Amino acid sequence: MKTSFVSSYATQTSMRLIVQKAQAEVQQLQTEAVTGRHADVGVALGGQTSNAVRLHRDFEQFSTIQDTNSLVENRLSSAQAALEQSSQSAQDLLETLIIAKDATDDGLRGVAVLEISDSLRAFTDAGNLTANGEHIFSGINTDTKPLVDYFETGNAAKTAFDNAFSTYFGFTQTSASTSTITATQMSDFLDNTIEPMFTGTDWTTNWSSASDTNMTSRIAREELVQSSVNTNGDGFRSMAFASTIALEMMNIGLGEAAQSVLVDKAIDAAGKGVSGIDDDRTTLGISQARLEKANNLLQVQADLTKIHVSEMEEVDIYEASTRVNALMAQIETSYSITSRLQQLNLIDYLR
Amino acid sequence: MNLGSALNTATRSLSNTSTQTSVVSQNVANAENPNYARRSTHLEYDALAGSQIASIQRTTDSVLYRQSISSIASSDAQSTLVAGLDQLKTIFGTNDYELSPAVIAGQLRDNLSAYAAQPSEPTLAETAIASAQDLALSLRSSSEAVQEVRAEMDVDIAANVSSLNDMLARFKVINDEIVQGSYGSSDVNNYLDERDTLVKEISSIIEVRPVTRSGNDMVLYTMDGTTLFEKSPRTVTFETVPAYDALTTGNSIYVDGVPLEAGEGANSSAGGSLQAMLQIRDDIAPMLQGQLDEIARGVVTLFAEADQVGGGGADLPGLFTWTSGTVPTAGTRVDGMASSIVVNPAVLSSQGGDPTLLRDGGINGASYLYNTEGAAGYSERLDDLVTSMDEPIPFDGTSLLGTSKGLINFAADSLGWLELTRSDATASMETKEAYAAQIEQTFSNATGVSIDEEMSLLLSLEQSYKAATKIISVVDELLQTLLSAVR
Repeated sequence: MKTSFVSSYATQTSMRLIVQKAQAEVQQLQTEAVTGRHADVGVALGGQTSNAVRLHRDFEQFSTIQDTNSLVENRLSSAQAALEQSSQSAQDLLETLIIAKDATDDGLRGVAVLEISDSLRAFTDAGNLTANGEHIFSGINTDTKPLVDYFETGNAAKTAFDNAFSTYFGFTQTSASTSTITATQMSDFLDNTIEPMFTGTDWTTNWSSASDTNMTSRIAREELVQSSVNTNGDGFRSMAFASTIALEMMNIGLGEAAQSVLVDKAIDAAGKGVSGIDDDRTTLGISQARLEKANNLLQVQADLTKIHVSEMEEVDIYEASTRVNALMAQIETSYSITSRLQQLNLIDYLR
Repeated sequence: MNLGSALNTATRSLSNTSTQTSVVSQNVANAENPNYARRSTHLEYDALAGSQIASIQRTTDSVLYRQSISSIASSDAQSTLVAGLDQLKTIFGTNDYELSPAVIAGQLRDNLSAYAAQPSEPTLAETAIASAQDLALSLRSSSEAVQEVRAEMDVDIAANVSSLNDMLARFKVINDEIVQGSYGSSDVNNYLDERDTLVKEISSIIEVRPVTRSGNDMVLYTMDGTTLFEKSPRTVTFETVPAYDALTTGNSIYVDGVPLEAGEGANSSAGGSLQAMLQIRDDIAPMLQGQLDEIARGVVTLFAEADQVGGGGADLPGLFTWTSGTVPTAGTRVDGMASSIVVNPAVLSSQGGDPTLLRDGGINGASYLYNTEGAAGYSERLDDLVTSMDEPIPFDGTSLLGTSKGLINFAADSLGWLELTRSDATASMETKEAYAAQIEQTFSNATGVSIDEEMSLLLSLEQSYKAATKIISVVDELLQTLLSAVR
């Protein structure tokens, strides 16, 4: 007959199982206390794992966009600086023209022409600026220099003007007959022959190699901004128009009336150039403002994502280490109970 | 009553005590044997001998025994399932899932958006293409690893089936001994221990319901009622499939001609390792493969090039392509697609391709060219690719992850599905193991040996032996007295 309901084997096994389980848990908690994350994130999170993975990817995406945004920021601020310079050149041109309006002798006109060529050079340089290996005013044609160098021998823009001049008047700018040009002729020549060469399709053949399509950049997950302006804008065209006519005809011995028509036209165009370039600056300024907002938002999003991820994946290190201590104590207790139980044996008392 | 009968009874008592002592000694010897059921002696009055005799009995508790068998079966099945799931999870790397398509697709997206920010930079094109190659490789190698797990399960099933058949053969030998011994009334207790142990071992492979019939004959049924053993073992047959791919269906295990069903659910219905292995091989691994195939299909579709000149040309694979070289029908899984996905050689500079085709399109000829201006700063196509990776596209509902989702979300959900299953399965394993340990302990308490109890029993046996010898010597004295009176 069985009288007791404890078997020696079960007593031993139960101790062994307790120790085994506690040791496995200690191992897991040690990892958690050191890394601060669940030892096995998948088992701890279950179906939530997909969210954790997504949040990690989101965080990476935010950092990538932040990185590319600094590139866009660089492009935008380089463009702003260059446009400021262009605007300054246009302003200089305007001032030169206003002063030159009243200049009657060739000497003063010659000085004006020199100043105009300086500002055209500065303007061309600004338009051909590169940042990060990209021509920033080329639209998406970033690998080509957008503006032609007017002072390079045999360039298309100068040739086109010279041809137009001689075709219209029947002589070249150096001819003595220039004094015979009337105000009406000059006005007609400027309005109907030369101006269309700058406002029409000739512009892209003679002057500019830029694409009409501007660069766009993704500055946030859902936001795409224009990150460049190109040299096909009105500002660039008017500025080039004003410079060209002033440069080519200012000091060729025009009659009083024709000279006045010319200078008025040039002043008008230079004024349009200033405002056109300022429009471009505004466009980019808006993008810059949006970029800054987007960057702030990205930072907030990245921070929040990080907090969410750590809420999901991280464990309380202090809790983990206290649990390790508690378990160690438990294991030690189990050891000492085992050894006490081993001593507590009827055999020892049967002598 | 007379002195003779008193002497007889005392002698009988001595013999009983020595039987009991030998039982105690056997019990003590087996105190640490988990498969030993405690023997006890019963004193019965034997009319033939005219005195009490000791008979040996084996402690049993059939209810606890059956519970013990079933808890072992389900706990072993569950731990087999968890081991399989752990193996599948390892395919995708550690806690960061750095080898998973979800993470690598995210990296591809980030590299594409870096390239879109600076489309004229050829090194960024190379970087994006390198992560595209990582993604293709991840899909191919995960798919290969999933099929490897299935093939390993197949080999393990074969090994388990063969050891099951061996155990059934041994079972027959032992069962026969027991039946014969029971008819001949010899001591079959040791065989009974061995048979019970064997049933437990069989149950860890396939859960059985033991039924004991007259003459101690045992019949084993599987849980669906198929006979596994009756008088003689039924054959369990299984044939391995030498190599696995997504289209391979594994062979069934036949018990007496009836196919064994696979376990179901994360808290698996499987009893014994065989059903759990079938569950991994035929249910979980193929589901994961299907999800990988869907990710592969999604990737090929997203990066496909559309006809740009209105010539009505079909969409054709762009950055990613696969064996058939077409863009599959939307929302319909193509089995095994993940194992053949590659980055299009047309963009690989190592194979004479042009990486900038990623930016410009035109991998499939001039009609598929997006960057018609040939501009170096063209970023529209790249930007479209970046955003399309998060936009919902149709997926096959049989993959259980929804029918409309962004590609990266789908890939992340696939990990979520696997981890949900693994997490549930692990929790169930802990419960089932604790239950099995508890039952084992209760069963051992009910049928096992307590040395202390045996020792105290030994004390009383010592006393009764002393008493019996005292009676003999007293009777001897009485007889001596009687004899000397006669003399």
